[in-house]
Amino acid sequence: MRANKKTEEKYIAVCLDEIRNEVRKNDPDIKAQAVRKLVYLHMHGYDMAWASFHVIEVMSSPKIHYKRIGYQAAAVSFKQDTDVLMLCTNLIKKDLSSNNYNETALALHGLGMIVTPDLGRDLVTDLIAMMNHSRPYIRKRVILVLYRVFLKYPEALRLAFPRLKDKLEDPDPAVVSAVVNVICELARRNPKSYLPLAPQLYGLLTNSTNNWMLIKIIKLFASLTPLEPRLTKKLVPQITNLIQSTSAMSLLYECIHTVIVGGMISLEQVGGENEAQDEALAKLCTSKLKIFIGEPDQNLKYLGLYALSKLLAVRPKAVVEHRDTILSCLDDADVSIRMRALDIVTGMVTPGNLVQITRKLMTQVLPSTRPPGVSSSYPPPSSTLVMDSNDRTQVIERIIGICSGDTYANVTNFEWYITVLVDLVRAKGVDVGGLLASQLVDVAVRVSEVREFAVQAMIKLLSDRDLLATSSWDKNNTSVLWAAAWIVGEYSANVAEPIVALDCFVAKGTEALPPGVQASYLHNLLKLYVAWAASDGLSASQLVDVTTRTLSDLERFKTSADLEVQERACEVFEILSLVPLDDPIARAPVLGAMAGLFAGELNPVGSKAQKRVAVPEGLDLDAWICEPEPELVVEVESAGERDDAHFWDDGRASANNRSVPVDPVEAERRRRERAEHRKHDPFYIPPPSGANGRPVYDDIDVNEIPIVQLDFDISPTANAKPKKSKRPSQKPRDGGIFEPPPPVKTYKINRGAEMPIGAEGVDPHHDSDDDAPDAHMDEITKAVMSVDLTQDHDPVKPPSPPSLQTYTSELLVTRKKKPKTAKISEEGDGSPAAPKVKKKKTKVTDAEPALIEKPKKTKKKKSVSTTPHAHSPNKGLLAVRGLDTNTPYERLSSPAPSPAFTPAPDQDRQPLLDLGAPDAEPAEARQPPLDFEAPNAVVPDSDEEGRSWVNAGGDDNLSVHSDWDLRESSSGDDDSITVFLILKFTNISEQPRNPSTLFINPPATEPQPVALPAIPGTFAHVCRTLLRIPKPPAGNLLEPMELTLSGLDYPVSLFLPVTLNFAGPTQLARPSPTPDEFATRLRNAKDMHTSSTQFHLTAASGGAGPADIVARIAARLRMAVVETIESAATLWAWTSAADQDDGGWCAALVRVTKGARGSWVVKVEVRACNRALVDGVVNEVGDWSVGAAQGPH
Amino acid sequence: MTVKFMLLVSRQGKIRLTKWFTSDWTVKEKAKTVKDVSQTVLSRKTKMCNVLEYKDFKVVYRRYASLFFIAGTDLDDNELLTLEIIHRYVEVLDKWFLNVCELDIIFNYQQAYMIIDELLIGGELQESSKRSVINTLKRMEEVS
Repeated sequence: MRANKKTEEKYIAVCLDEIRNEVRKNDPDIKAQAVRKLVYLHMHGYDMAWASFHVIEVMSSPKIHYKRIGYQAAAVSFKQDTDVLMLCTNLIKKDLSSNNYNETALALHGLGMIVTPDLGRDLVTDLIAMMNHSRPYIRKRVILVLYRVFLKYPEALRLAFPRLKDKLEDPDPAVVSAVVNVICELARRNPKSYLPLAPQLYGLLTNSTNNWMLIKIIKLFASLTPLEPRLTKKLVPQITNLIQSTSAMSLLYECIHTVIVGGMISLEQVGGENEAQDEALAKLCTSKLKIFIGEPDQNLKYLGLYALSKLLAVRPKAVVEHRDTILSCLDDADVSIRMRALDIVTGMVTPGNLVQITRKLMTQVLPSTRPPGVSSSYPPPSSTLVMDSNDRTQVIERIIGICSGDTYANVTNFEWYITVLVDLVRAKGVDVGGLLASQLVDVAVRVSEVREFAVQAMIKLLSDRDLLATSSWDKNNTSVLWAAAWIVGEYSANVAEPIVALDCFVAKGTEALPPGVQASYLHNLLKLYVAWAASDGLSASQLVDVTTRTLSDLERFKTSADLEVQERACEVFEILSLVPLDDPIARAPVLGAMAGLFAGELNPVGSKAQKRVAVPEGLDLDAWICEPEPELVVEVESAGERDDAHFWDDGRASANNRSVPVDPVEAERRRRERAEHRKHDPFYIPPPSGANGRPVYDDIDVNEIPIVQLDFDISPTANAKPKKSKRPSQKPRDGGIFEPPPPVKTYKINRGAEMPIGAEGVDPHHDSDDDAPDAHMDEITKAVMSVDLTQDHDPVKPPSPPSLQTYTSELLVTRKKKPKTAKISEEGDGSPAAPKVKKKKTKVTDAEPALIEKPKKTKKKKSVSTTPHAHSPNKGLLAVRGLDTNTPYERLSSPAPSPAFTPAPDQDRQPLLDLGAPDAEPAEARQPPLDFEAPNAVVPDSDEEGRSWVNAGGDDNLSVHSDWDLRESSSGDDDSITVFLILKFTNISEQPRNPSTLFINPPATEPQPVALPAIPGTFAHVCRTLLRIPKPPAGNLLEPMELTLSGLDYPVSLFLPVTLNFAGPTQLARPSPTPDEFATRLRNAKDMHTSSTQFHLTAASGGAGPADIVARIAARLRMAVVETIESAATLWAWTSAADQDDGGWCAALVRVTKGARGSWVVKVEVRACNRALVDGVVNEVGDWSVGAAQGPH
Repeated sequence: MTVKFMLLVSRQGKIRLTKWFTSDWTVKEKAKTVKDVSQTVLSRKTKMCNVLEYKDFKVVYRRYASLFFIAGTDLDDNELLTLEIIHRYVEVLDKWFLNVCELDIIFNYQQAYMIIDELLIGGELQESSKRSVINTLKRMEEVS
């Protein structure tokens, strides 16, 4: 067409004009051709966004030929924010349902590229319907396009998943392959949801011969196996078989990769019952990988090395056997391969082979023709490698990395290391001076034995004229001289010939060095001079001679262009001129005083030491030193608003920075939240029975897995203590393989890091605080990533259609593995999940027998009927009360309708004192009786002992716990709701605390003062304060509220949860419903929201058992217990919006079952008509569980 | 996503075809990626391996005569599989144009696009059989 045109701007401009005219023509042919030209130009980087409307015109053309051009143009040019996209919705809808399946295919292509959340939402139902299209050609396209839709509109996944699952059994292999592709991609984001598909996938793995698909399945298993260890057992023989039999390299590679990455080989140290098998597998992998590496094909070599580096983490022993092969790859001509080999080599380093490996690497970076006179033992490189400066820099970084790793754990000879560093300085064309400098200084400071040697080496460096000459090069290492100067100056006692060194500092040519180095030179000149001048046996003439010479040399620097250098030069000059040259008697005191300038030794300082230094009293770092200039007029206009915003911002920012005591708790809470989110995942379906007719996972409670696993994932961050590195930590690879050889010489390495005084006494948990937020942030973003697809209660999302809801609730029910599910699925007939659910019927959890045996409590027995036990214990909220009221069950206790909040006040509940406050000494702080003197108390206090305190934080000496009560407004003021805020201040230091005034800042109202009396050391003080919250408009609920308590060293956040909305005991003269009313209400409720959570409590924190746990949860949630059935209980609360019949309540089911080792598994399911309420309550439960788990030990 | 983009670049660095499987990138980002990737790939020697890492994705390429076929994939994708996909694409091109050469792709880029579309949707391989791809293409030709 115009392919042989010369690409000139002018020509293109003319063309574009031409096209602009053409697209406006009515002739569809011309229009289509114009669009086609545009696509071509777009490919070459010319924008065609202006033509998007014309593209749509072409798309809507009835002729398929034009339509195709249109869709193609759309796919190429449309972006997420293209405004005409909304015009497409109907067009695509029409084309999708076209009789001509070619048109459908075109529409699918286009949609796959341009899908947006809006398009996804509007079209998802059509797409799902099309998954059953008669032609496999369309079916597979739909499935792949759906994946794109899922990415943009995650809600679609929920709707499409059941059918997607069915498509795994599609007769057409291409469709199955497409499904596997999609699931593989999805599972990479959130593997947990797809565990139930494992049996089907396994079937495919064994039966399929399609390598394309096999690779995907194996990749998919790689993301599943870490979650389900027993899958590994099943897969290993199959994969081993594939590894041995397949001829396709890609499949072979994928198998090996999966074996390694999927955790099918356990860690070497762990051993375990499968050690023999693991070892065999590892052997097999390495031998195959060796073939890879030996191949002439560079790709296979590359991949072999890549896989080997992954294997290194689990099986170092197996990899090390191939050391020579790997080392030979270091000489490969291809940079990528060299770098991969380098990766492995880095991981293989032990004290034994460090020297050998470093030597090998050094040959790559050092110039082959070495300057004469440099005594180095490195042979010239074996081959002439083409390495550019980046590669060399990288190799040097690796050398330093392997040597300095673990605070020099692998280095046995530091003289050798200094030599290596000095040799590296001579590497050409790289800029690693700074890196080398910091290494040199670090070694010299930490290893005192090596200082003398280091000083010698440094003087050699300083006097190296060649090195000095390189400073004019583009990339040079002269900044290393900074360290050289520093070491010589600092350890001047070790300098053999100080005069030579002094001359070096001011020698000709030093002016060309970077200013930083010059400054260091001058400073260390002074240091060295002082040390030298104060030494004995110095003849007067020598002193005079050197001093005058130095002074005259300094003149040159006094006029330096760099300020720093200039200042230092003048400084040194003036100090040196103080020395009375002609008067020996006056000289001694002056020199002595000067020697005092640099007395004392420097120690390594911890990188976090600065943060530990306490801010001196009266110093406000945030305050302006002087008032800033008034802002411009424009900015002042919104001053009022702005001030407010700043105020909150500041409070929050500083709370974040310093939230020292809250942090572990906070972290724990976030972790819970995340667990909660994961649990809401509606696709967490218990797996259907496997191909052999036996459920694959019948002996574990699948719901327990995430919790156990979570305990793992927090520990590394929580325990990360910087100070731990006092001793070189034994890395796994050190153990057993290579016993560190007896060092030739022992070095005392100062591996510590100095911290300010006072920081020592602080609990080590503090240390992790600085790191924790970041690490968690990462975790959280990850969690968001994985949850994103399946979250079912994001308030931002549009309300889900009704069909969705039945589906959701059903899944929630099935997740609890109730034997009743069959019945429920009958109720929700027509739902695609139903048949799967039925299969789970036979499942019985371990906990059941124990519960059945439980002696019956003799409380008020209301209705007694013999219970078929297999049916009763594990019932969901619906099953218990809603759907099968006919099922006989035992009502063990059914409290009389009572407005009381806390149904079981007799329980021995310990206040959760000091929970999460790491710097408290728990034993001491808990002993002293609580101080009930409460100046602000309005209501005589009754049961502070029984409160479920929430740790709000505090400062170093005072920890704050809070709780709240809702009371009917006594003044008859109907516009507000009155909340009693109860605060407990515990003085956790030994010293008494002076009285002070704190302020509670509710949002948008005046701060309220709270007078704090003097609190003796380790005593607690409880006070209450009234808080009036304006009532929300009728029918609305109160938002949860965050208050700030200021006046302490750091502002403390007090959180009033959503349960604020639950009506107080006197607020509504409305009793809790009877069990039967409860059931009726649940059954008749319109648009109900459900959410649930589950957690473990240890035997200790579980208190006196299920009843106690239920009571404590009910108290925390301010809900009344309606009914207790064995170890489950239903809770109820009216909300303050209770005047409408439907919107005004919240129900919960708490089920406590026995877990492993005497622990308790608590499941809480919450239902209400308000999504925010449900979520808030579930959060509260999560918070409570965190507190309870940490509470009484 | 398996394949993020597919580039066909001549040995002189002329772009012959670009296919993006994502609509999230701006024109600028795309242009930069094309420039960077094609430059790195072109500068590599024939003996070097065909995989390299670029920013947050992997670049897998292969040279056929004077044309480089470059694919960008996720970091954890199987490189050999990507090479296979590239190869499959070339095979189909070859079958369709009957002994394909660079000029075929320059003049019939529309068809080259169509073939990619038949092989991959949204970066996922949808059809691995050469024959069925060719059949579909023929049918499409007949219809229009």
